[in-house]
Amino acid sequence: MRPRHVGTRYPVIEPIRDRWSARSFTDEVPDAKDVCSLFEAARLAPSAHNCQPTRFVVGIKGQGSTHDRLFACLYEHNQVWAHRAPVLALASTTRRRFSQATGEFLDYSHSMHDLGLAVMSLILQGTSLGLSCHPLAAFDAEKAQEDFDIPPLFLPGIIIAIGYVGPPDVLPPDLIERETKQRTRRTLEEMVFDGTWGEASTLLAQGSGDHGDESS
Amino acid sequence: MSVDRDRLARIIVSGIRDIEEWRLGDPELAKAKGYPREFPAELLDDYGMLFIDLTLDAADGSLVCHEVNGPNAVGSDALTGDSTARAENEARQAVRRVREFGYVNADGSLGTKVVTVHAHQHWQFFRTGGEFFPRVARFADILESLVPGNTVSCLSANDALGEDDVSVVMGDVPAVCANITVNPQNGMFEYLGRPIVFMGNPNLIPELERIGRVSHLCRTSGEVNLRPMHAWRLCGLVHDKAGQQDLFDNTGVRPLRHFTAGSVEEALQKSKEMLATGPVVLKPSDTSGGTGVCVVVPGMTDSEILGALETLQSECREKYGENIEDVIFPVQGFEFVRATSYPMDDGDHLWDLRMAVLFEPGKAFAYPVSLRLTPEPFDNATFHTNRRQWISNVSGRRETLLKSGMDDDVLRKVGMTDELMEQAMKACVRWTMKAWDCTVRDGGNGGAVYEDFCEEADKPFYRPEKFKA
Repeated sequence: MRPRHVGTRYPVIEPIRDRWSARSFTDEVPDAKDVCSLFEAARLAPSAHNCQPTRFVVGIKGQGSTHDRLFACLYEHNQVWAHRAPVLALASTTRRRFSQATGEFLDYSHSMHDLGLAVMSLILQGTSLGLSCHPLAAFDAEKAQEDFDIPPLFLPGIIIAIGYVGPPDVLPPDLIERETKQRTRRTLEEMVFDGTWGEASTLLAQGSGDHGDESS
Repeated sequence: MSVDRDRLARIIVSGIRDIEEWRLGDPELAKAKGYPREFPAELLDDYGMLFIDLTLDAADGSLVCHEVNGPNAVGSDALTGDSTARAENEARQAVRRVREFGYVNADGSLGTKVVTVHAHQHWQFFRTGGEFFPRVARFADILESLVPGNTVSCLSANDALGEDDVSVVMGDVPAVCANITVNPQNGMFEYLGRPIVFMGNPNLIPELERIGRVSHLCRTSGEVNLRPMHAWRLCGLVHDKAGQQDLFDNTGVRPLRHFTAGSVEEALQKSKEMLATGPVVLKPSDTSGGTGVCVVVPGMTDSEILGALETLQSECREKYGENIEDVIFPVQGFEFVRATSYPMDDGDHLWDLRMAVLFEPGKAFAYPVSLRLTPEPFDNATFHTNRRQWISNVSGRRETLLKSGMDDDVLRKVGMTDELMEQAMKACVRWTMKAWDCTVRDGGNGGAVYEDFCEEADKPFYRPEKFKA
């Protein structure tokens, strides 16, 4: 995978360091075993009450119609590049959860959170296999619900474009820049607080910060 | 002249004391009563069938459950006279698995010859041929229509497999198990070397355990792929009679007090403790048809209780063969429930009502199957010495002891009102969903997920508003 590291001050595991959301993919279809490993990783993700709410619909380009049908659910600005992804996966989650204590369905406010945990597990597994997994929120969820006959209990949440990173020059000009420019992130001080909201935690000053990857 | 195939099978088995629940069937009455009753069941995402044996506690009028049976049980034809709905449910699961296991080519042909296995109970003890054989034949017909262009044949467990794409094998549990192995490479069940895509009886599992084809942990260890089993997620629970009771909490059926005991000594101790509140029913694990079930009553000595436990084991050994000890433990104990009375000329009989739950992705269908009366009237002074006073197993019964679950006169006599029937159907569907959910979510023996109960006891445990924008 073409590296696009964000500078870090503290060490992180390789798949987290190496992950980024590519838009350009090669034509190579990942091995079925590797694709299955992605979903195995998602299966092992944590969830509130161990609800395991996430379900996937997966389409491989050139194998049946599912890839085309998933692609048709994407909004146009994603279609301009996602057509190259050899694998598309729709991740859905339950809108409500079942309680053993009451025997009824209850509100499930953590539903999307838990879908995110599963998808991140999938993404990191993909990264470790050399695959880029790009989650796409911009798709027609109602169309997906109808086209794939997804039961009302489930909410289509995200489509993930999966494949090996390709050269950026196949993309439209406006996307080439986005595909290659330096990635940025909020600083730790802007997101980790302690006593007072908005004020950087003093923990950050205590860490040595010398094990990171400031160079790229 | 043409001979109806189902009728012919029923004529053949009628001479060997077949139970003939199909005679209770009345399609017009079922339709008038709205049976089977459809319920939404979004949590259920696969196929299966359960038979839930209920009664009314004479002490307080509450609905209670003796046990939940898996698709090994019979009676699915007692509603309309045939089991087409069940056979179709089974066939749709089989087709799902054929595709899931990768046996279907792009043109719809099967790339691998496959087997479906249909087992009735040990023939020596059960007579359910009038339901079983027509159902399996119907299954084969429906399956053939669902996999057009492929050939389907019906075989007995004694036949060699032929050249057909799908072999529908039928026989009793020991006979078919003799030909079942597990492929060590992928954990798939195979029948004479061919992959199995459907297995219609959870009692195959304990028999495979007994003859050493799978380990006692196979229902949870993942060593075998259980997905060919009908109602596959519940394979463990249909034999876990104690776990079943926990799951009735908050369903509309009162859970029975119970214990489990891993040894004779533990069973003795726990029986003595429970006897302080009344008689105790002792049941072995992994058996069916009431085999080994016994009752102990207050006032019994230790040696009398131990004698009951010895009888429990010897009955199982007689029915299932040697090496049964690993299968029937833990022994489980339950509070004895005296049902409301059904008056007959010779006295008041106890009863239970078998409720069927047939489910498929997203929905469940519930209906009463039959009301079974005990062979002999109940006598509080002697019932512990005579199982025929309190077990309503259908084998070898007199016709008058088997009633339709739609018979208003019978239901009225035992106090089963329309409201209670509705409550019972809803409870059985809710139990099915709880059971399915429980097996997904580390429910374990208690049938519970820790956080659910924390939340119930402490509502803000997971505040619904926490994640709202």
